[in-house]
Amino acid sequence: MDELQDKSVLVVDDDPGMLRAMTKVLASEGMLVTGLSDPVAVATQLADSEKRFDLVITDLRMPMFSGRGVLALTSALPELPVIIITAFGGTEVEAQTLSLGAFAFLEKPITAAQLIQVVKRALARSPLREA
Amino acid sequence: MNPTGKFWVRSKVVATAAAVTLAIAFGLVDYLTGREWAISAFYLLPICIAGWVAGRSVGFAVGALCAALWFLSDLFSGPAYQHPLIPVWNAVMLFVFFFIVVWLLTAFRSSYYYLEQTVERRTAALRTEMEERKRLEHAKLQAERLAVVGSMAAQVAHEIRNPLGSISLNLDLIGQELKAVVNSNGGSADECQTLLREMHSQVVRIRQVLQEYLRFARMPKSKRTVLSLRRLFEEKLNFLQPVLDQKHVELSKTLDPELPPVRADAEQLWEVFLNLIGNALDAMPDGGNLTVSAKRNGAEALVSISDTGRGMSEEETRNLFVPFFTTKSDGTGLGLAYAQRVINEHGGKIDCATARGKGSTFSIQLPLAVGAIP
Repeated sequence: MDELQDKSVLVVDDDPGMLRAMTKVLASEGMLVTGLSDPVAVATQLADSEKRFDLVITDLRMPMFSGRGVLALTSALPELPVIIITAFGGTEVEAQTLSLGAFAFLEKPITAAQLIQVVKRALARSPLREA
Repeated sequence: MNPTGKFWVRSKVVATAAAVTLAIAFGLVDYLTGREWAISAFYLLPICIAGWVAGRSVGFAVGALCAALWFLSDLFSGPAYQHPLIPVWNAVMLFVFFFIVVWLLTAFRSSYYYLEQTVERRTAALRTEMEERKRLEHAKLQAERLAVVGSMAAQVAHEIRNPLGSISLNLDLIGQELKAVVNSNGGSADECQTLLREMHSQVVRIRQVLQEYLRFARMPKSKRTVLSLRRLFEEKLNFLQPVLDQKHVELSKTLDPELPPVRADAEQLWEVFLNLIGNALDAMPDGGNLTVSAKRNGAEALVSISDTGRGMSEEETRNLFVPFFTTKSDGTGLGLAYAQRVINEHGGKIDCATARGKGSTFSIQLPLAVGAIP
């Protein structure tokens, strides 16, 4: 649990059930979770200088602002890993999102263990960020 | 152009024997009656039989025999002629007449058979064309239907995956909560844990079904490379050995080392072969023999996967490649439809031969890579 303790993560998913579940799983590992069901607010969150995220987890297909938009926004922060978790997968979509800079691509449904494992891998590969 | 075959050879022999017998009979009648009965025209009967059934040469031979018999009966029991060469002249004239009859008859016969064969050939070509057109129309209809069903299945699958995602995570959270409650209050939650595990396994099952639907609905374009089927089987089949041992299935491989490569997507092809092998194993619950062979068949590679399992009924065979048709309680009915789609997209063909109680053989034909054919 220590690896994830106090790490800040931004979770974006327009499905409230999925968002709530991911938030709970990550919070139970001691992470500081900011959950967003409105993807339009991602830009505001990322631009907020008070908040520094260690990781972004986002859905891919969302109204108004897709996961690709999130990837585009985070491309300015190359050290910030982005994990895509989507119901609309496929090898072509996976290859496309990975080429856009996503750290990992997971297809729903996932288990808590899978989520925690991929989060640990993403944080281990990204440099530590001080708030 | 004459008919051929065993039946016709036998007919020729019978017709020749009958013609010779008749000719001799007429010759005897001529001899015994002293040629007083005018039966010369009846000689045409054996000549026509021989010419029509056995051909021109036999017709001429029987014609010569008839002329000779007529000449002999004329010579030994016929009337006295004014000139000794008259019977010879009459016999020669008769032979010329028989010759002309045989020639005309067999010419007519040849054109009759030629016409018959031309009609047969054209009818067969027309039938093949109609069948091909019917097959293409059916394939087009099937493709359209599949496209609609596929996109609908994909949409439904995607919609299910979202709630399923939260169900899966929430089940894990419930498990954690349960553990915490048990740790703080004591007692046992074994029954609850069992139920949670059961729910988890059902989530996994739904996930697998969805994956199979989605794999079928959004089949990616194949990434084809020059591929040695022999090497593919040799590399991959080894990994299946533990499963085969567990199911008491003996594997026989016949992989032609001279088999030229094909141009194919290795991953997609292996998925197809794995699916067929999986079906073969399901068909042999008490063990059996699995035979995998790959050899060259003209400009194509021929892969066969055979089992000694229970085989299939007529209905099962008819619907084998129809999407969503399954006889398995946990099957989606998409495995073989996917296999057929992959093989067709590679320009190949997949067929199945089965015998109830004896087993099934799936044959896959794939075109050899261009340049690989010597």
